[in-house]
Amino acid sequence: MRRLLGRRRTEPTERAGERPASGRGLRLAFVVPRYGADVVGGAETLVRGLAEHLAASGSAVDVLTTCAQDHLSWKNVLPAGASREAGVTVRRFPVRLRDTRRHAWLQLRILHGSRLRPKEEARWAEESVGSAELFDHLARRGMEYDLVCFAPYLFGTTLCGVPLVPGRAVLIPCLHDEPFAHLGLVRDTFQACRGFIFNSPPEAALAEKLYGIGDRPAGVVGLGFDPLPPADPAALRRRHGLEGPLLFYLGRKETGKNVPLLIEYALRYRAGRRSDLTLVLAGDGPVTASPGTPGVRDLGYLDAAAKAAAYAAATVVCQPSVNESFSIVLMESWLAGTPVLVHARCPVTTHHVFRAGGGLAFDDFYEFAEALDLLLEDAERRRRLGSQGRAYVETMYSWPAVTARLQETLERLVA
Amino acid sequence: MTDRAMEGTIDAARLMEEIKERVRERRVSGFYSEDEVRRITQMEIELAESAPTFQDELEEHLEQLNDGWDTAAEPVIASHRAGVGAVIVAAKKLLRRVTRPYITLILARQVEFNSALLHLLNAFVLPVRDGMASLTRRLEDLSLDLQERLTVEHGERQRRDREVAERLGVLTARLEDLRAEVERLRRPVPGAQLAPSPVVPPDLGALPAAAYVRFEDRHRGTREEIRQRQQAYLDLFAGLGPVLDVGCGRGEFLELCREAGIEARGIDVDPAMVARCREASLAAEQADAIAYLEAEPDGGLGGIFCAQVIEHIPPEALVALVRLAHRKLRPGGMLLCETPNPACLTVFSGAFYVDLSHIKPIHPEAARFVLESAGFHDVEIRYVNPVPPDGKLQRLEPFWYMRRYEEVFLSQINDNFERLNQLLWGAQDYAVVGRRP
Repeated sequence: MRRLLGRRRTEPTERAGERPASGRGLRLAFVVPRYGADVVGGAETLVRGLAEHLAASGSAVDVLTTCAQDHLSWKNVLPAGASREAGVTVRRFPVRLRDTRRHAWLQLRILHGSRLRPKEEARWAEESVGSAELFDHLARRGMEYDLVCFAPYLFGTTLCGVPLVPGRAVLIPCLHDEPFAHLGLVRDTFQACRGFIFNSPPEAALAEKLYGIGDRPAGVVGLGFDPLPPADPAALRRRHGLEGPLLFYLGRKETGKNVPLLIEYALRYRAGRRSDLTLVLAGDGPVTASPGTPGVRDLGYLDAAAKAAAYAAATVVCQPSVNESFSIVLMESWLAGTPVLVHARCPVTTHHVFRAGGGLAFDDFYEFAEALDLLLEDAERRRRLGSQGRAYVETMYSWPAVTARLQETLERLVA
Repeated sequence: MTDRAMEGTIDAARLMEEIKERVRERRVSGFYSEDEVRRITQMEIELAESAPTFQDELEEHLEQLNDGWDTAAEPVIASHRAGVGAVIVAAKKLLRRVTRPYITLILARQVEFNSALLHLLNAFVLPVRDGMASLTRRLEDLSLDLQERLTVEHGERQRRDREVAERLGVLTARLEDLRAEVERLRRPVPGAQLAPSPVVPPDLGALPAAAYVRFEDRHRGTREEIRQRQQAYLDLFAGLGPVLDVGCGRGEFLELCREAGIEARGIDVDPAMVARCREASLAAEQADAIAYLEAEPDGGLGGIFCAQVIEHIPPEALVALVRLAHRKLRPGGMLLCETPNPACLTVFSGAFYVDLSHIKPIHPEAARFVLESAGFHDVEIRYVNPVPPDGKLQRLEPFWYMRRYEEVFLSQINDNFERLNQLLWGAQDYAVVGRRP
């Protein structure tokens, strides 16, 4: 892999072929490990939103992806071949047979801070997810596209795909500071890209710090949002027997998202301050409080309608994760007019919260408790923070605003 | 207050300063006592996380063994030094070639041993690891299924409880309406004009006698059922012969008296009934009760038994019958009248109106009043023939996982059920019993 990168890498400033001056009418490809209306995931949702809105504004958009639908088994579920989905041409290629044991073992070593040899890093990337047919398509026809946008940085489709389209690769990294971000292979991939589309200014700053973006074109775009579907929060409370103030967590329930910390803080808060507070967890994932723990409820996975009702039923939504590159949860929570509580050590969520004035941040349990006190004791304050958040989303992350930023970034990328 | 705050917006950064200030103040003021800090930090928090650490460890060790079992494998001979490196590598390779036969001799047995051991380990460990993983997954699936089922059942139960409560409310309201209606109908209407009864020729309007026997067979109950019900009264008449059975019907009570050695005879207006009694060699004759009693000598009877009769006669006839009975009984004699119980509302949806010849239900208190005003003493009401328990509203039993408020709710529903059962499905008949002093 290292040799492959070394041979294929080209200068980022290299220009290839004639390109239209405007972002409209571009021929674009997005490369993403999974794609489809039923695919759950932040980067996947982002790419689908961007691709569909670009297609609607007149660009020819191809999505190159695998036949997989879930990111654990990577089974080939969807049919291979081209299809047209919401104006976007989707080309699916079968996932290559993976050595999952080897991949899990290397991944574990990365997470535990072991330093991998370049050969091992390449092996880890190859075994994450890849498709010989997809890479072949990129190698043979990659030059037909004006730009090839890869997302997110962490998967084989990106790490092995970027070197195949020298001079045209654009990365939508969805980056946050984690052990994978420090791999040599990842650094090489960032080096090989023509430009970047970031989700937030703190993400761009992190990429600059880790890899040195320099004067390569980059833009902060993010994801766009439509208004939430109408919801019946009272029905949700009734259905699940929820009473009193509700502190909601929505998202994957895993240690990496800091969910154990949130459970611990919420239980401490109940023990010392307000025993009527209920922490409500919603989403998939391995972490939860032991069943029957007083003050914690786990609703499991919620569909779109139930999720909208959950945002509206929540008194406060907490996003304790420090590993976010955008945080869809914050935006959706604000669209429902609900204030948020975020971890002060996450540059991205705190950036949004203080830009929006849509909530508060905590750095330890004591700040968590005081912030929650401030929010729970004053309904008017909650309402105003929530509506400030909503105004922020409507101004910054409505689809027209996002599409305009994206067009402008693409124009700079092809210039 | 910042300018933004004065405009009606909230400055989140300013709020954060306030929060940090509050934490500082509380720390200084000792709000977070040592005790509290210790308590909350020691609080036991149980997190359930699927941490496959044991399997990972197994795999890690196994992988190391699988990578390194071949101790005789050729090492890579290389050098990072430029120039001299090639010489060093060549020297090392020569040394390696010279020593290889001896080293291989020693290591071959080790490699063989390693290989056998590793095969054994692989054969054992991999199935154990996979089995554990699949068991863990199965357990997770099961616990999720259970949780889901419990949630669904809980919701379903709440929905059913609500439905029952709503239906109960409707029933109670209808019952109240019914009670008010009954009360209204019971009140005499002052000055009201009664609609003139149509004139019906006696032959045309009379019920065919034989048909009534069949009717009684079908609706009153079989002979055996009636015998069983009336058996309860038999002890009261012990030593009270002669007993007159007014409205003896098919003669069940006369039969019981004969078996108990109590002297008894019966009268009935229905010739078909009388004929049946005579067939069974029971003393019965066709007669009108009032006329028959008038002809009896005063104080000549020990007991008068009168079951399912008084609802067939108009109120004036009832008063006359009771007065006559009082006169014809000897001191210590007893009158017993059994009739449908109007305080049990189900009686009106079945027993009472199924019989065309019923004229008017007699309330137990009205019966008591009639007997007492005729001079009977120790008048008592005996409620008989209760609706079987499976015909009533059933009690709802609490489940072990119910919450306290759900149990209170359930007990209120059950109290209401009890009241409804009393009113709708109480005793279907009663007997009023009085003694001549």
